[in-house]
Amino acid sequence: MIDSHHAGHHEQIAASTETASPAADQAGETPGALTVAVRRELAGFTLDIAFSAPRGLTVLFGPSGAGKSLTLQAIAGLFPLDAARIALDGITWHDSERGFYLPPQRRHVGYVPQNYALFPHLTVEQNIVFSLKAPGRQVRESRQRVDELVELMQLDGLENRRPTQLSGGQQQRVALARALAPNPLLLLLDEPFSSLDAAVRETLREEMRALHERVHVPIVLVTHDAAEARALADTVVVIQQGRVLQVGAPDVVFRSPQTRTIAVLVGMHTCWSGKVVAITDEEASISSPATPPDAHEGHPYISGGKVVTIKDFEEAAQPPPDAHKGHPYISAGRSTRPRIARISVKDHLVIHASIPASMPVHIGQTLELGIRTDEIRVFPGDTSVRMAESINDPSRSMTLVAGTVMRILPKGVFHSITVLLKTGQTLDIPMVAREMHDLGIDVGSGVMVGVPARAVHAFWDRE
Amino acid sequence: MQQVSSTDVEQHRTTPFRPAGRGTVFWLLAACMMLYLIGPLVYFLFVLPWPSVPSTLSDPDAVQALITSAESATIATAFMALFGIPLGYVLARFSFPGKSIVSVAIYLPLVFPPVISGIILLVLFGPYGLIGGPLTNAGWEVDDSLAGIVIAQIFVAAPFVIVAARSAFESIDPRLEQVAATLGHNRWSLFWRVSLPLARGGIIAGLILAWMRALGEFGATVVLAYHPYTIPVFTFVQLSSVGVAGALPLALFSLGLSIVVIGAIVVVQRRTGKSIVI
Repeated sequence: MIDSHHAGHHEQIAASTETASPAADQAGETPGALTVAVRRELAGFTLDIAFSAPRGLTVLFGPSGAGKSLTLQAIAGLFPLDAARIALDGITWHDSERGFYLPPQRRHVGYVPQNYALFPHLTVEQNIVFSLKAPGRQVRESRQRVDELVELMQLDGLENRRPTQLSGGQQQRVALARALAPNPLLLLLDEPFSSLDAAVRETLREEMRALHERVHVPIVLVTHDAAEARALADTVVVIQQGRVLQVGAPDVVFRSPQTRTIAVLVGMHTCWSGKVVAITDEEASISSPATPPDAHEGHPYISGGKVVTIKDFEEAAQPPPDAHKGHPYISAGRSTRPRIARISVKDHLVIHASIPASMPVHIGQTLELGIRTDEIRVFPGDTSVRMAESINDPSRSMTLVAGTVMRILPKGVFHSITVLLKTGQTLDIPMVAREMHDLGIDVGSGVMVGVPARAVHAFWDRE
Repeated sequence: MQQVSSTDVEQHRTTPFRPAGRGTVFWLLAACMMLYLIGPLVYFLFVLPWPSVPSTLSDPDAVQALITSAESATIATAFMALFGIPLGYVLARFSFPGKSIVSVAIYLPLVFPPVISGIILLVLFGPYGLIGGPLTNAGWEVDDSLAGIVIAQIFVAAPFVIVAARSAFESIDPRLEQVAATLGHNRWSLFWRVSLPLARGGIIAGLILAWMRALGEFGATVVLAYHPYTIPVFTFVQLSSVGVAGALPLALFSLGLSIVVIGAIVVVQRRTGKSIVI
């Protein structure tokens, strides 16, 4: 438990510093290795994608039909565009304003479409050397190159097979070998794992990460799988309906989505709206947990140092007089440190949320709350406030609410337990079997749910 | 033209679908059609004057007609391959103004009565035609020559090649050509290395059908180039002069050839796993 305290505290700080980085990216302070701005009007669909990403593994993430694959084809030069600016490492591939367009055969990209598109009439070896047979390319070292790639992609003994005689995983590796053979400047992978079995997918995902570290080729990968995007990406580009919604490091995008739409896309399914009723300096509350700043007489607010209970709620819902003398709360814009906001959600729930330093908030403001359910803690139903407090995280800014287990759904390694809170909301909380067993949790069990402030991602919905 | 993958056939075989009813009406009507198609052929084999078959077929005139037919059909097929396959590729891979008109136009020779095709060609290639006139003056007679036969055969049989090639190119996954492009291949290079090898089965089937159609061409040929005799024209001449008995052995020869060609197409289809039916 002590270990997890430390880890928890650490994550909190890490999360808040990372939140600042995408803003810098968007301001253009760190120009990306890959710049893409493409536009194409189609019947009933407009592709209008613009992003810039540093060298590394960039994941285009979004639901099917969002335009991810078209974007990939556009980067390869295979999809006609109305307007475009595409550049890699400062070298322009397409600039419609200047009327410049580099055809696909001169872009040196390794494109692997979703079905791999291996040439069915050629053997594995002939597929791999296909690029070396292109007009103007040197064929001299083809034998050596095949051997290198066969070794790299573990295709020994399959050289003379036809694509139809290979398993899905083998086909994928041949497609990668073929794409890598001419030493491409950029690898474009369209849903590389979607047609594989779950078990193979896991393995190949790890292999992909390892391969990326070995070959040092920047990669743009398309996926609709949030777990895959999170596991693989250095940069995530969230795409929906032909538009970019958010660009950033996976931790930022998946933990701090900017809008409710993105929150739903990245799997943050629990989203509430609420009104800010109080703001405290996070570090102040950590450093002096023994003396809650709002302990003075007549003050209706509950501090970050004290657990909010349902009983306390009625008082907490009152709007605070922000400029009160000796009032410890910090109003918008003045803080450079992370803060804790107490936010009143409808149905008698007041929840603590960690607010990153870069985000201005003020009392009375309406915020969206995305709940990172994997950070929620579940206590036995008879846990007292004091007990929860004693095993609570160091910031003491946990919201504790009673609830009842309504449903338990096995989801792979985790069980998803659905808890109906006394205040009316439901939460789907992932738990491992051991933890469930230790707590004696079953359908109908009464539990106390602890939502740490760091598990609550507060944002304004700019839509 | 229809493409059916072998997996479709497999699924159909392994999925027993048996609704109520024995389909008696269908069987009766279908049997009539089958009998109508196969019956005359079987009867023909019975009435054939078998003893006279070898002598009729070894007759020098018949042999000459056979050589003329084979020569002209082969030359015509070579031309159809050279120009028809590219037209099929252009229709499959490019969009251009008037594409729909061209798409319809390539079917016209199939629906025209062949004699009309012959007349249309005669107007252009005949001794007083726009092209035929100057050629005749230069000593290159188009009508009543092997060239005339070839021209008539190409006009009538080319649709088979064009349609088969177009369909074969269209059935190729465009991703394959896109990947080839990203791997450094220009259109010419990827046509020879990807498109053509993958369309080969369909194109060969189209060429075989076209060759057969050219070999059997009568209507347009008889208008544009009555001489030298091809097998169909010679058969007609025999029918007019000697009668049915003289034409029957030649008919047997054509029938046998047709069966061989259909067999060849079936083999090509089995090899490529594609069904090509026109």
